[in-house]
Amino acid sequence: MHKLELKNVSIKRGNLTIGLFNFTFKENESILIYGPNGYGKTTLLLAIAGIIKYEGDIFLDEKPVKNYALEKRGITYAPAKPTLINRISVLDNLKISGNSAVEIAVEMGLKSYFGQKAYTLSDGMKKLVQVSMALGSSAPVILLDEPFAFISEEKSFELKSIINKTQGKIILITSHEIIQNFSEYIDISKYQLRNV
Amino acid sequence: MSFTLSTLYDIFLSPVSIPHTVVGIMLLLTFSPSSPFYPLLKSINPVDDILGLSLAMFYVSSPIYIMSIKETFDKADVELEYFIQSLGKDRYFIFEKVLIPEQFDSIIRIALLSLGRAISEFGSIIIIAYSVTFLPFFQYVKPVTVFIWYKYDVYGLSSALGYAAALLTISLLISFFIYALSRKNAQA
Repeated sequence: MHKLELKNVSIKRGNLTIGLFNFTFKENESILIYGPNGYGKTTLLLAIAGIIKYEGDIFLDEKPVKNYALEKRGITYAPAKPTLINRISVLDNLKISGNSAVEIAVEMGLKSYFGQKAYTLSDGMKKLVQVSMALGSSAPVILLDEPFAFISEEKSFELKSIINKTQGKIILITSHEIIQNFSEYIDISKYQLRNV
Repeated sequence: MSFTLSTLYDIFLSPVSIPHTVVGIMLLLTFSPSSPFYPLLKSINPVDDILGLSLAMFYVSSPIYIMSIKETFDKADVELEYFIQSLGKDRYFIFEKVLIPEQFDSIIRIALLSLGRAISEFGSIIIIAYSVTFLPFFQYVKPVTVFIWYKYDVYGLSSALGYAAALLTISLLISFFIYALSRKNAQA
């Protein structure tokens, strides 16, 4: 059973300081971090991924992850910007993550795009491929920054159902609005230590 | 102001900031018996040699290559790198499978730009490699820019025109390829 713990975590980025975060997330939980833009939703994900510095401790399965390199941390971070390796095909992008990503992409109805070079896709399609790659990764923690941005309502619904079906992972998602059916909700506006 | 080796290089040694005839003299001095490097370099004689020609071309074109490549890599999509890295891939994978393929056209374009600069070099070449010998392939052959100057200086403008036109054609072809790659890059 995977477990992600944040103990007294605070993050300073530019004029923004957020914290203190004290949470324990368990396997099969999906957590929505919501709040207005500029309040630190992405900042929190970047800190958990280890891309930016933070105070406090983050434990994955009881082990501190602070000194782990991004590729060895067991945490996958999909940025808000729909970004893929443009010069290779959609299928080759998915294969970087693994076979599960390919299966998820098929489930999302992306099979007809597999042969296309990634740069030919719309931002919405890129986003779906990117999220498929993240959800299909072997990491126990998946961080999805604004996964519902750029995509249609219909695809958002499908994506939400895939996220809810995903087993064995802890999934943290950011959104500027509240979306129903997540296990836990974090209102980022309540964690403003300093926001100038 | 922090004074690093890089600053020293930018101010005093960068071929961008020193006249190229001086670069030629500097290269000559580096390999001369009075140079502090002479004990290490005494077995090498770059004067009128393919090595001297290559060194002069390399010295004047490498800063263009290095600065442009650095600028290109600085502009690379960091978020994509983080994303792929967080999928468990290390930095070598990112370099080989993300950075290089994504920037391939730029790398070729910059290489062509540097090649164009190297081909058009004159000032340092005339000092160190006026007439090049590279046995068994050729002997006493003047590099094209030196040859054009020689023709002009000795026989006059009409004699140099044909060679100048040929070099111009090559330079324009390189410029065309650079333009085509830039357009392709912008569209991708």
